[in-house]
Amino acid sequence: MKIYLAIVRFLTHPWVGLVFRLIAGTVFIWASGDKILHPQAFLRIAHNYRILPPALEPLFALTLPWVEFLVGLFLVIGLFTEASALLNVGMLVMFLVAIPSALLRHIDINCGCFSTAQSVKVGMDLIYRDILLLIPALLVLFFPSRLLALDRLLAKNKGS
Amino acid sequence: MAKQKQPRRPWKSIVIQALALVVLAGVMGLGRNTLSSRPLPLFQPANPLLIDTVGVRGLDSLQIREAWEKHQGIFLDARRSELFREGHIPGAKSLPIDDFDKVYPLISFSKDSAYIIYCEGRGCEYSDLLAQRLYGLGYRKLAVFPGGWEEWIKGKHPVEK
Repeated sequence: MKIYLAIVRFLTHPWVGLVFRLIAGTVFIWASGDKILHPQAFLRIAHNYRILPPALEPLFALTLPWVEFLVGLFLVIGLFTEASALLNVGMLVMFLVAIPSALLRHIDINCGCFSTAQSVKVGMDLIYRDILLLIPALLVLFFPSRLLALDRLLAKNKGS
Repeated sequence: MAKQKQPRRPWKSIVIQALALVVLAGVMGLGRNTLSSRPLPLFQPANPLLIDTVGVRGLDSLQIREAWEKHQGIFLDARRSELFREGHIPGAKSLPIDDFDKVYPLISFSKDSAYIIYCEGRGCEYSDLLAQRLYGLGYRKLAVFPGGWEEWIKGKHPVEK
């Protein structure tokens, strides 16, 4: 019990929360770059998953990378932290649905997770990775760290 | 060290902010698309690019190499003729999308054959445009090699001039 409480206290500590926030934010900024630069290639990847109605795929391909970028940026600077963390969790859950879905339908495709290049195929390792990323994402959502966060500054200004 | 207070916003407020972020992202994405020299058409289905027969759905150059070695399809080069002459995938045929109307009638392309279409690389959409054009003419065994010539060269695969 004591060990469990110690682990919980550690994971919910503000400095640990800051590290998780920075990691989650950086990962998503990194993930967004190539997709913003190559929307045509990302559209092809989104189409390959065969999940969305085809008419909505272009809108999805144009919007998702920017959601990733903004979520990443806001997590790093600590602005709209909970909202960004909520979207962070939402996107990871979406990936955790899409990737197994592709595997079950035997669709052999490029993941499109960090790059539109033909380098990373959908597979179990991606599912494990996304589950690992989900843990800090959930911690940031439920125990957001206000250290080095613009949210804190805004709250202070609002108060004064 | 004193524990930092972490006041929680109401969930409703968090959800509204999240939706606003998504809308902002949409505006940025659509804005960039509008300013792009090659905007994606909205609310139109993506090109029917990748077909089962050849099984080269968005694969990397190693798997394209395998498709090439096993003669799983005829490679079509969608780039300009000059670029084709400078170097192309061995055995590929030139069908530049820029000169499609001139070149297509001169070469016989069977609809029963499978075709793997490529152009310069990931930023190039000529392969998609050529696939779309051929699909409109009734070709169904089509695949696109998105990495294109850049990726083929990067993989140090054979070239023909």
